[in-house]
Amino acid sequence: MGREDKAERDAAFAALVEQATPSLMRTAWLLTGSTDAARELVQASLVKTYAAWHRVRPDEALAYTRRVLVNHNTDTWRRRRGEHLVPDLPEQPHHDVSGADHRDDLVRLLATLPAQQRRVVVLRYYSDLSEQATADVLGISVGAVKSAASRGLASLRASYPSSTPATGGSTR
Amino acid sequence: MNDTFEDQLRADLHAAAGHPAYGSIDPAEVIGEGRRVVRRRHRLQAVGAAAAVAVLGVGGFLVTDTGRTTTTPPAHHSSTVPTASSVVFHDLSTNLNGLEVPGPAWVRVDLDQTTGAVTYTFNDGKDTSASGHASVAPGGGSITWSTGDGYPNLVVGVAPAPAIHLTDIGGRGGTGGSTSDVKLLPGTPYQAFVRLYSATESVSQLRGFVWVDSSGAVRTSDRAVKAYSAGFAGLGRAPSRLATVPDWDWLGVFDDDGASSVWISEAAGTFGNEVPRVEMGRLDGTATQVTVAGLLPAGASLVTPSYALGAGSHPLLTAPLKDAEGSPGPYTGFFAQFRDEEPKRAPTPWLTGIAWTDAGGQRHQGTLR
Repeated sequence: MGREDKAERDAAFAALVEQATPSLMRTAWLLTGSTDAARELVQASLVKTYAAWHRVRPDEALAYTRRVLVNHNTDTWRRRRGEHLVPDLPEQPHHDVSGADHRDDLVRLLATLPAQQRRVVVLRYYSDLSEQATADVLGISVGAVKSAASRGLASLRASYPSSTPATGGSTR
Repeated sequence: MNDTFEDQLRADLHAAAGHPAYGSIDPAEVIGEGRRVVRRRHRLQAVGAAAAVAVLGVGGFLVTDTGRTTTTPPAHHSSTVPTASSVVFHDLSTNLNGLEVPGPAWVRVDLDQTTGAVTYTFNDGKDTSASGHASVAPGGGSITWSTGDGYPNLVVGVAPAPAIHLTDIGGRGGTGGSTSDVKLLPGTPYQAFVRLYSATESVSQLRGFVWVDSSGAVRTSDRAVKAYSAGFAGLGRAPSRLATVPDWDWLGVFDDDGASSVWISEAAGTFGNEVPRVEMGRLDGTATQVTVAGLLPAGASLVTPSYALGAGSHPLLTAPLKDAEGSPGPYTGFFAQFRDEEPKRAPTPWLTGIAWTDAGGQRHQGTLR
């Protein structure tokens, strides 16, 4: 690869980093519940994407990186979980909350879901992926996506804070 | 499902995700790290090629296509192996918790459907090498796995499909992370899998794999190593399955919530006078769904649990653990799953003691650890 080609390649990748980082950070935050872990996860996913950049199509770069991110998080979580007989329990959700507390509660509630349900909920209802696209990202069947989404939504609805949230994001 | 709730969830997820201050990521830092990953691959390629030459005469490793500069996995030549089923895993290098973990650019797994012969082909982005001499039963049901030559963090293998909850059993107290992927081998009753571990010790200390087959039996990757298991009705839709592999000091519970909800304890010890058990607390709404399960000697009866103060009193289910062929083993399993409405904040046990009567009528008080 010539120097100019390499410079062009790096420039295209740098553009991806700048454009995709906010979206990836938000997804990673919902998956990890930690800003530090989210940043670490996004950075690791971008590094892996760079190493594969020669075969990543430009129009699929964000989807590729998101798939790396979700699966990277999956595996590190799975391994960590196996190391503890009795894991620490997250704090309990509150029900009389302000908007900021509500947001924290939602992330806390997400943390109570089994990891697969959490990933499916985030990909379906935050990333707005279709069932088929979610299945492709996670490498599971559409049926498994439907099942995980159904269970995840049921769990969330059962313990959802009763107050009306001060939503600052988009509504659909 | 209520559409209104789904809409509210969407809006709240966007609000929650937009709330924290994340900080930025420097593209130059990522590119620099990415370049180091690529350079390390190239170094590994050189080391791998040298190692391959060193062992070529021994018969365990064949080098092919040396000097190839493509990063695209070649299609399998159907004229030479007409019944082969193949899958390719791409870009196995990763970064686990800040640790750069090298892996091949791609790995191809070929399974000869007639003979069951398995070949792994590795490419480091430049050169290609292949290792053979592995096989599975052509009709299904067996497993083979290998460490990746030149890649000390990599395990690649072929397992039955489905192999539910395919779980690696390593050394006690293993640390570090791993990434994994699995792909069905088309036209065969098998799937190929790869796992890349952050610590090479996780590979060198890997004892084998355990999984649940389509009949619900728990099997191990070593025919000489038995797994024993029993199903228990809990709060899930399907029974939870308590399983143990005594030769591997391993005890775990598989539940019905998919691979993500599998939890494992590498239970230590000799299964002597102490009682191995696992506990799990998972938040379920405002309460905690608690699972306690473990092993008693075969024939144990009149099992009486003692719970921590405030944890309530919950009867234990018991059942003999059987091997994959249905023969009873040396254990009686106990299991309870309940909701704790006042969850503990600290990771202390729910089950603090257990008493039982053995087959000879003698009463015992178990020590929990």
